[in-house]
This record gives sequence, structure tokens and C-alpha cells, in this order.
Amino acid sequence: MALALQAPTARPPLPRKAMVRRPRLVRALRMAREVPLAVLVAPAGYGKTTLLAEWAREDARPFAWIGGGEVADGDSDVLLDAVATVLDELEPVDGETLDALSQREPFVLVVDDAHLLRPPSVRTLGVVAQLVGPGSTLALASRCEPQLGLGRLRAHRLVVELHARDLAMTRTEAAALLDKAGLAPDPRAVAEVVARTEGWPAALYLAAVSAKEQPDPALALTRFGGDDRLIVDYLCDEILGPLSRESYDFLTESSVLDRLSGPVCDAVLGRRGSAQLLRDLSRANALLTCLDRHDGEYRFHALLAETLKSELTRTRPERAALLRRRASVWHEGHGDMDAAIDLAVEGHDVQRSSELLARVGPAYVATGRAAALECWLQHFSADEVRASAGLALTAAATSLVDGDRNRIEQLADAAARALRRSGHDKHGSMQAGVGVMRALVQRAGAAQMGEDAASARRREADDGPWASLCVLVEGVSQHLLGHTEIAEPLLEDAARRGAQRAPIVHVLALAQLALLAIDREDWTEAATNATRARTSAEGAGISEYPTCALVHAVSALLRAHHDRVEDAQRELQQARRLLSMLADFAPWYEAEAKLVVAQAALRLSDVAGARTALSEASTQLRETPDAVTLDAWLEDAWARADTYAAAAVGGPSALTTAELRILRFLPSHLSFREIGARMHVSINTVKTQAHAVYRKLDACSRTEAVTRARAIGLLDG
Amino acid sequence: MSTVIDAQLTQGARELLRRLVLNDERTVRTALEGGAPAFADTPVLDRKTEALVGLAALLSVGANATACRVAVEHARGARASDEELVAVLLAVAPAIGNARVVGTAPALELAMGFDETNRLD
Repeated sequence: MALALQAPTARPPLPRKAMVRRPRLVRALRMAREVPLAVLVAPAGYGKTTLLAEWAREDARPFAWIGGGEVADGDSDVLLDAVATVLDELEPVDGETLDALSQREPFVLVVDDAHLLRPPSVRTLGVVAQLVGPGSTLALASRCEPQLGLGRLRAHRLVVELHARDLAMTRTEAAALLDKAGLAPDPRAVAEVVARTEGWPAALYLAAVSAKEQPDPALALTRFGGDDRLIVDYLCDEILGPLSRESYDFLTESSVLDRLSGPVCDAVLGRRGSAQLLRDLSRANALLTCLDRHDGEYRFHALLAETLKSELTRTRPERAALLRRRASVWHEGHGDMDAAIDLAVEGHDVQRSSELLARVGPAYVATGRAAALECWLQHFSADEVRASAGLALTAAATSLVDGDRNRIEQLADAAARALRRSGHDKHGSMQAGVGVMRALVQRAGAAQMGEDAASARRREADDGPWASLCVLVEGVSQHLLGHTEIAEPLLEDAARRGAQRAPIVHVLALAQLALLAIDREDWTEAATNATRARTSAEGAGISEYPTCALVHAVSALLRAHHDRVEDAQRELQQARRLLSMLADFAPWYEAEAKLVVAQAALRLSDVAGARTALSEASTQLRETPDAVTLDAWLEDAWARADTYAAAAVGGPSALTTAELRILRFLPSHLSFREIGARMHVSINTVKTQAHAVYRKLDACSRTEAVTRARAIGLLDG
Repeated sequence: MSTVIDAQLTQGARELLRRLVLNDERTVRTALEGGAPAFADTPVLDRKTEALVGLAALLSVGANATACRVAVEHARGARASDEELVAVLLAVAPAIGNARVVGTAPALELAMGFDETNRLD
């Protein structure tokens, strides 16, 4: 029988100055007074011992302590001797240790580091828990779940448990810890560091120590990560050090994955038995969290993942690249394109990222996920994007959202050059993408637009990612040229194609069909199509896309026709706002949308607004001289505007697109010069347009203009 | 009949001019307020011409961009094209001279929403 290395103590550890009180957890423990067993299970550094000490100070019962390390090498007899010794120090009682448990006055027996005990000793603790008297509690602190038959105890409500998720610090507790460490970060910094550490107390403390060593502690705190040497050393000592070689290699290599499961680990790492190993590591609390109730999927603690990834990339970069590629392919094969792209982007695999993004780009833009594409693209430099056909095409597609014509043109050209350089100029789908984007923004007129779109469509497969957009642009071209009988079936086809996979194409096609219906005075069908467009845009999360301005304009016109004045005005405002966000997009689109705005404004007797929209549309129509449909609308609208006697040009609705752009900057702290720099115009232009904004809003100052604009809904807030 | 009406219009215009020469207060006040003259039932100048003439007057006296902008908006609201707006400056140029033309051109440019010259700085 091995002897304990030192006599067990009956006293809890002394409180340290830097300790943070955690009354919410102590309350949970004190409220379980009649429960015989309390179990704290969490990895190292979660403050289990500190919490037990705080509990001991708050609870009226006497506490007895045994350190697991003191009895780790012994058998259950050694443990029982230790139990008897510490309990007798509280209250000497005659009789066998176990028999005497129920005769004692209520007490709390703490066994710290219970994970160090051998299985027979753990089973003995189970017996102790059954035999303690009413009001007494056995409290275990362990890094892994003790095998005490907790399932049965839970069913009978005989155990109170605290796990890592309970012991993780809240923002308030974290702020207190950081404050005691000599830092006084603002709430945002606290939130950031809590998110990065997931509330792990040891990591928060190390973050504070690391931050204090740096010139800007507040900034350093928010950047604390798994590559900081303090956390690396701690993880190596407490988590990774005790692991077997197999487990360590497994964790390091699988760190390329955000979500771990048996099948994906087996496939990516080229091994077997990953599911069992994951389960064992999770139960051993190697900072591996189970994400479901079936031990099917796990994730690393964020800091551990960073540390392992950093280690893998530093020591075995080729292996890291290979693992990421395998993982990307696996996820792609299992339909998780986001995960596949994440892995390719994280590994800076330009070729694979280019392939994947080119495939999903059009659909993601069309379904309101342009922001996700932009996030991925930000991982690559501007030169890398331009040099890769897939990346350039994806970037051009995201620019469709804002209608940034210059950017679309430049990136489409870059994609075309990259395709030629790679010898892939026969690559149909990408060529179709390049072609249709050039068609959209070219200035040679509606007929050329239609020809370019038709040519692009011939290069694309019928179910290819660019097919629906090609059909839409062809249909729009025919509509502008006045070929209604050709336009309508194309637009219906585009609406059908877009319904499932490309909502932006779907809603724009419906808007065009609504306009065709209005032209033949079928207001019922027009209303049906416009309502479907509006509803679909909302449902797909794309109603705020600047290129959806036309949808709102059509909706405004129809509501004005049906005398739904307030609804019409709201839609009109939205259309104007979105139009002001377009950065010199296709002239035909802006002209068409502004003509519809003007028609709606006239129905609402807003002559000033109509005239402004008409004069802007006139300028833009110069660049689409063969758009006979729009020419006819323009003449008709001017004629109707001229019937109004009033010649006023004032009022909020008469704000031009450029003035609306300036208005968006007025609530900011930027000076006119700074606004000019942002908008690439001179200060004089900003000043002139700002003065026009003030006049039309009947304001004498910038502040007043902002207040008025907010009051009438031209600005948020 | 049209000859009679024309004669009436001419007589009305001449009387208006005479009253302005005499600084007839009511006539001057009405003129400054703008609007259709008393001697005609309908506007004599069409909306676009009236707006362009107003712009011409502002350019002639060297008005700044903010002042010109309202006139530009009126003109555009009356279907004046950008070419016509620039043509106004050219039309008054011989009368206002080199210095005034060069001095007022930037104001017209800003009022029209163009920025090229100002970005030369």
C-alpha cells in the first residue's frame, strides 16, 4: 500500500488578492445543501479550486479538504484513511470511517483533483456520497467526469454539477478580473477578450499579464490569441503535455477543421477510429467541446485551435496545406460549400478558392450573401484577385450589388485576361460570367447589351450559374428596344429560373414584367408581379440591395395608382435612397428606375420630385440612345409634368441622386473636405450640393438638415 | 382677330415697360415677384426659355454656384439639356466680357454638378 506523500489538510487554500468573487456559482452550490454530491468538472484553469474556497468561506458548514495528488498513488484504503483524518480534525467520531459518516454534524468534504485518483478510489468516493448524512456533501473537483454512476444520481436529483460552460466567466466577472490585474478596459474590449477566451479564467488572466507587457495594453487585450507565448506555454503544460503522442498528433492535425467528427477526421487525416478518440479526449476535457447530445460533433476551444494550427503551420506547412485541401474536398463532397471555401481561403489556396468561389459566386450574390463573398475575397490581395479568373469574377459579381460600374468593368476585364493567360478561355461558364457582366454595364446601347448577353448565354450550360442573368439581360434589352413580344417570354423564363436559385434575377424579372403589364394598362397583372417581386426581395434578404431600386420604384407606382399614398411614398423614398447608392451603374437601369420614380411622383402630385427624376433620367438616356421604350416614357412623363402649373424645384423629394449621397454623410463628423475625399469630389462640389440639400429641406445648418431629414425618413435614426 | 390680340399684347407690354421706367412701385414689386405679366393670360415665355433667361441674368452678374444652382434646377425641370445650359453662358459671353465669363464658368460648372475644374487643385 503506497503511503500518501504528505498528510492531508483540513483547510481550504488561502484566498489570493487577485481572486474574483463569483457569487452566482456559490449560490448554486449553497442552494444544493441537501444534495449529497457536488461535482465540478472542467479543464485546468477554470477556477474550480478557487470556487470551492469561496464556497467554503460563505457556507456555514465546516469544510474538509483532500488533494487528489496526495492520495493518487494509493488504493481505496489510503483514501479512506485520508477521509477519516480530515473529518476527525473537524469532529472526532468513533467507529469505522464509512459507518461514522452519517453520525457527523453536517460537513462538506472536498476532494480536489479527483481525476488523479485510481478507479477503485473513485468508486469508494461513490460509496462515501451514498453514506454521508443529511446536510453533508461530498464535493469533487475534476478535469474529467468521475465514473460514479452520475447518470443514476442525476435521475434522482442527488448531484449538483458545474461544468466548463458554467465556470466560464461572464463579462462582469472578466471585467473584475482584468481590473484586479491592473487593467481598466472599456466594455467593448472586455467583450472582445471574453469572446476570444470563451470566458476561460486562466486565459483571461494570461491575457491580462500579456497585455500589461505591451505598449498599448487595451489594444493588446483585444488581440490576445492562441499564438501568444503565455497561452502556448500554459496549454502545453496543462492540456497537451499529459497527452499521448497519438492524441497530440491527432489534435494538431485535426485543428484545420472547425467542426470535428469521426468521419471527417478519418477522411482528412487518413486514419481510423477517430470517433472514439474524439469521445475520449472530450471526456478527458482536452478543451474539446461536444456540440450535440450524441457525441457526434465537436469543436476546439478557440485558443487551443489557434495554438494547434499555428504549431502545425510552423512545423509542417506542407502537411497543413494537404490537410486543408483534403478537408475542403471532403466538405465540398458533403454539400457544405461554406466550410469548403473557408478551408481553401484559410490555407490561402488561390487556385482552389478561385474554383469554389466562381462556382457559388453568382448564386450567393443572387441570394443575398454577397457580404460572405466579400469576406472571403478580403483574404487575398488586390493583385491576387485580379490575377485569378475565379476571384476576379466573384469580386465583379459582388459589385453588382452596389452597381459599381467601374469596378465591375475592371474586374470583368481582369477575369478575361486571367482566363486567356491560363489557356482556359474556352471555359464556358466563366466566359459567360465575364460576358454578361460586360453586357450589363456597357454604354453602346440596348441592342448591343442584348447581343452580348445572348452571346454569353450560348457559352453557358442551361443550368449554369450565369444562365438566368443572361436571360434576364436579353429580356431587358428587348423590352428597352420596344420588342414586347420577344421580351415577355424571356423575362418570364428569367423569373422562373431565378425563383429557386437567383432571387435577384427573379425579382428584377418580375419588376420588368410588371412594367410591361402597365404599358398595356393591365394593372391587375402588374400589381401581381410587383407584389411578388417585393415579397420575394424581402424574403431573400435582398430588398436593401441598391440594384433592387427598380423593384421599389415599380411598387411605388402601383401603390400610387391604387391611391395607397403613404405606402407609395414610403416605397418611393426607398427607391430614391437605393438609387443614390448606385455608383454609376448601367445607365439604362438608372434611367428606367428614375422614369418609374417620376411616374410615381406625378401620381402623388409631387411635381418637383418628378422633374428632378426626369432631368436625371434624360441625362442617362443619352447613353442608351436606342432605348425607345424609355424615350416614350420620358416624353409622356414630361408632358404630364408640364400640365402642372407649379414650377417649384424645392422640397425633399426634389433632392437629386448626388444630393442624397451627400445627405448620407451629413450626420457624420466628417468635414466637407473629408466628405469630398471619401466621394472623390472637390470640397466646392460638396459645399454646393450641401447648400442645395439645406435649401430643399428648408434648413439653415447642417444639424438642422440632418434633423429634418430624419424626421421625414430620409435618414435613419 | 389675332392681329387685334397681338396689338393688345404689344400695347400691354409697352405700358408695363413705361411703368417700370417711371419706377411705379406696384409694378416694380410685381415684377420682382416674377410670374406671368398682367397683360397676358398665359405665360409669354415658355418655362424653359424663362428659366434659361433667369440663368443668363445670374451669370451676367457673377452669381455664385449656390445662386446659379436654383436656376439650373428650374431649367432642368423645364427640360433644358446640359448643352442648353452651357449655351446660355456662351450667349451672354460677348456682352459680359472675358473676365466675367472666366470668372462665372466655375459657378455654372458647380451648379450643374460637374467637378472637373475644381479637381484641378
